[in-house]
Amino acid sequence: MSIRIRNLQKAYGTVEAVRNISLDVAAGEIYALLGPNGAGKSTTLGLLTTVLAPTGGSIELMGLDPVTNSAKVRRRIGVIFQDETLDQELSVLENMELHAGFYGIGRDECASRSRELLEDCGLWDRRSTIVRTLSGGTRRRLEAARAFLTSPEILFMDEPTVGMDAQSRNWFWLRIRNLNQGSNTTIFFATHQLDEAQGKATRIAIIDHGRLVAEGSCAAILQRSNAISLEGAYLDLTGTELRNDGESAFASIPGR
Amino acid sequence: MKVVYQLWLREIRRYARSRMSLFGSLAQPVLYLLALGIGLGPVYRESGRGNYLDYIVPGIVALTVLSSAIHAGATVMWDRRFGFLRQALISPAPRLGLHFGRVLGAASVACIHGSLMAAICVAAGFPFPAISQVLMACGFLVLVSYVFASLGVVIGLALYEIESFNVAMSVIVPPLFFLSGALFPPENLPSSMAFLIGINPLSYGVDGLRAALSGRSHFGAGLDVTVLATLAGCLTLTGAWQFSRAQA
Repeated sequence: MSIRIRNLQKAYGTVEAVRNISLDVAAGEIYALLGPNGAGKSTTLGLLTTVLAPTGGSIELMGLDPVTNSAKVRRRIGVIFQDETLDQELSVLENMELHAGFYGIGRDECASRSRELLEDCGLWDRRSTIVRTLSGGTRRRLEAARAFLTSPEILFMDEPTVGMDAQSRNWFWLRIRNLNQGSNTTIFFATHQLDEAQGKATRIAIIDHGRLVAEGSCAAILQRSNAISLEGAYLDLTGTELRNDGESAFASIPGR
Repeated sequence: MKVVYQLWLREIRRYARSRMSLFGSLAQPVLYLLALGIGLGPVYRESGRGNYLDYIVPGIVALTVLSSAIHAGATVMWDRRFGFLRQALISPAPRLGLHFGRVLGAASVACIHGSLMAAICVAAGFPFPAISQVLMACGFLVLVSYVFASLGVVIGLALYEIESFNVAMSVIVPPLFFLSGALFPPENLPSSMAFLIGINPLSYGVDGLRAALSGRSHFGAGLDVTVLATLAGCLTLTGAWQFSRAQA
């Protein structure tokens, strides 16, 4: 099993952001975490990627506990965050080199991998361009290329295609499929885009108010909910009430 | 080592692309040099203590280094706000490397500023030092810049709001400078002030630079090096520990 979560909990004082989530993700699977704003998707991802420490329950990634073996886990996972994490004052290539430095990738390997990835995403000719001057969608493509640089065994993604145009999204999911099929990389992504979850993931987990409310393949979820579409099942499970981002417990963390 | 090199290189590249930081770091020391070094010169000379410019230059250079180095903490906070820190923290890079690389980069920039300020002081009339003096002064420049870049990072990691950092700097930096022996000799002072000067880490940096450039020292160059090196070690370990506990 690539990811095993049992009774995962994360509380900030009296606010429970994640409540007793349990799920398994097999190696090489593409798994979507679906939920409305403030449901706990980003918090769950934060717990899985060693950004946050759980207040209860257990996590196993590739057989390792990310709390006690954080360095080993970090070496083997990749992360694409919802918010940008590029250095805006460095160039495209300099960001790749910096990332390679964080992962101990040698200069020659970094050079060849960076060229391959940047050519693939159409950014090689712009390798000397300062990131601050790129459009949001282009920066997102660079974030993805950077995450692929380390050939992770598990790739975690939080709203990975936000800000991308259709061509970029197409490129992105083709690259993800290549990574998944070529290297058996497990893909775990959080999204609130139903078409993305339905079209790309082999299994989906729907969470709301920090709890797991449904889990399985899209067909299995539809069968259990008696809905005729994933959207119908999703709205049945999570309701139609509008959500504010400010309701997210994550927003109350100091420094956020 | 790769992460140390890349983080050092990052600071150098960012500095090279931001010319305003140079003016920001030199403006206040130049003002002190002109207003105090030249303005108070006649008064100091009349007291029989010689040339005030010769006395004040080590302190001015130390202030330049202090101002530049300690703002490494602000960089940490901007990195946290704009997400770069998160990417560093979820990487397998050793936490000691994250601290060391960042501090080395900030210290390098501070040394550049300190050297430029020293050149300005020479242009203003400070006697050109011998090579041996220059080398000794460079050693103290490196030590002072490392200590205060480390301190800046430690403070930056402890705070969450950039505004809080700016307030902290406005409270910390002036006492560090004014109570370091930079502007007046630390001899024959009331015991309370002598105590404050004695516990101020910048005092040992100023004293070391003065020992290098003019041969005069209050604490002794050996003690200056010992204090600064010990502080550098303690702050490095503290910073690495903070990085290991930081949540992005």
